[in-house]
Amino acid sequence: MKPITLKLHLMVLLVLIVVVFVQFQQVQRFSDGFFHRVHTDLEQIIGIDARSEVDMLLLQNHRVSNFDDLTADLLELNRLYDNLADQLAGMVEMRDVLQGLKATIDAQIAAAEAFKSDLGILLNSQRYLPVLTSQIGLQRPDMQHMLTHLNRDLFEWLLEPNNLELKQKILQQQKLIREAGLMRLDRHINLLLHYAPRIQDHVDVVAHCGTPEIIALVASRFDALYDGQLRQLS
Amino acid sequence: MSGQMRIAVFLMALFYSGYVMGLELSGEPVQPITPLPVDFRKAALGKQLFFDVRLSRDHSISCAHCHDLKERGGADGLKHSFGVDALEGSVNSPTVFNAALNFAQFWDGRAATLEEQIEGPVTAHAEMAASWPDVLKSLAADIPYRNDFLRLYATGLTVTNIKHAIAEFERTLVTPDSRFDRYLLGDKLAISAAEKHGYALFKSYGCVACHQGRNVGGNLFQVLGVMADYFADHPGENSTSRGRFNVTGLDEDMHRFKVPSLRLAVLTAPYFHDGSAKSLAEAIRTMSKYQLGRNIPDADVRSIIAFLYTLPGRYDGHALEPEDREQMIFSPSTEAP
Repeated sequence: MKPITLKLHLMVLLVLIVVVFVQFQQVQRFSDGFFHRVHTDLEQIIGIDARSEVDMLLLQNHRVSNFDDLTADLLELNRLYDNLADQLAGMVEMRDVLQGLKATIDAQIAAAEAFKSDLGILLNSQRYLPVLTSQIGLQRPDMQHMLTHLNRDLFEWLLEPNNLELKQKILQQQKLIREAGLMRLDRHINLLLHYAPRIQDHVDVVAHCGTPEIIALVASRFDALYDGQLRQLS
Repeated sequence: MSGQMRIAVFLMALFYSGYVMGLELSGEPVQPITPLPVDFRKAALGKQLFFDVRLSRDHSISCAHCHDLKERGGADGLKHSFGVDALEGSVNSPTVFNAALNFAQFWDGRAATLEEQIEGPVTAHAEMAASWPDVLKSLAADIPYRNDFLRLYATGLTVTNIKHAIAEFERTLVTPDSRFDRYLLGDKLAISAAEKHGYALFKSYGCVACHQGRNVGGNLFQVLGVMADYFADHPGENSTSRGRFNVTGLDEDMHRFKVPSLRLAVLTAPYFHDGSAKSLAEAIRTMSKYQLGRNIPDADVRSIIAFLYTLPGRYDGHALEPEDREQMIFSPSTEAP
């Protein structure tokens, strides 16, 4: 046999070995365990997504007074995504939907982190407002009536932040506060007006960021690929 | 009623009152610490590494240099820490106790895990200033070390495994069973009436808005200077003052920091990322001005400090709570009430 023909045979043999190896890896990858693991991760992400929304609502409604559960759920969400991405690494067809899922989870985590920070600030001003207005009322009896109204209006607006008429009224009262040189009270009013709508926005982002929808997309893409691979292998 | 019956009724009443108390306190913003699951063989190896000076470039300092577990509550008691060649770092060293309970590591939260965090001090210029190849080389020359790694990790002595072992040790550095935790779990007498009053004030002044959960902090980022401009009043600080902005580049993260845990606060002066507050009284006054926008009278500051003394738990069989109450002694405030 000429040396060149021998080399050709060896190359063909090498290519065949590579093909068999790749096929073997595909079979390994598309075992039942793999399918099950990916779907378990997807289901868990949906579960944690829902739970983090509940965590936020419980915090917003003062039913829970620490951030431990929400924080743990956000960490778990990240961990589950990393796990899923590791499992699907190398499947080029999944790349765009995985990026979509990552973007959604990042948006959700950013909103939840901002929620924690903003809620802390809002609650402090909310807690302090009646104390501060009564202290000022004692020093400035001429302002007592206005401060009582301000207190009541702010309380009502925090329950009903879409009431623009009421907000307008508060802004007028705030103008008087500023004119009277009550800068600390002015700052607390600013914080309340600024942070209350932001907190609702963060809750809305988490509730509507579309994690279940993108998970459905990831699952259907994965199932189609899995079916295709199984057919190919059989 | 027979004697046995009386004892049974007494025990039932005792258990029931404890149960009710436990239920009542389950809604509290501060929650008790529970130990974390740990592989103790790996943690023991990590403990050796934690005290090993070969992790630094010139073999002069170990992790324990800035995280003194015996005398300084897991920190170093300095405004800024010092690394190899006596180079001064740019931030105050936080306690390593209960760091495993924090949701992120470093003041700016740039490391998500303890393992990730270890990369920072080992290689940072003003800290241990080492390179991993050098660390690996010097540890690999130590036969018992190499054998320990081979025994505990399938891949033997590697950078990943070194980080994991140290992190595993740090996961043992949680401090459960504080007097306050015992109170939360139903032991009404674990803290005094004055300390309970301090806790009530801690809540009513709004400290709990950020310092809550089992670590009394460590689970959110917050802007420093909500009510007044802290950085205008404390000029001349370095780039670390930008806080989380250095990680995300987002304007809204400027001067935003991870809220530190208060569990070991009574032992870990000075305070804040810049180590600018020398005592707890000063730290509380600063927080009340820049974060809460209100003044806290000295008597209330003292009560809050009394509460903070109930928070350190136990480590390695020893209570971490100091016997002296030196933080309760401070000069009167000069601010108008």
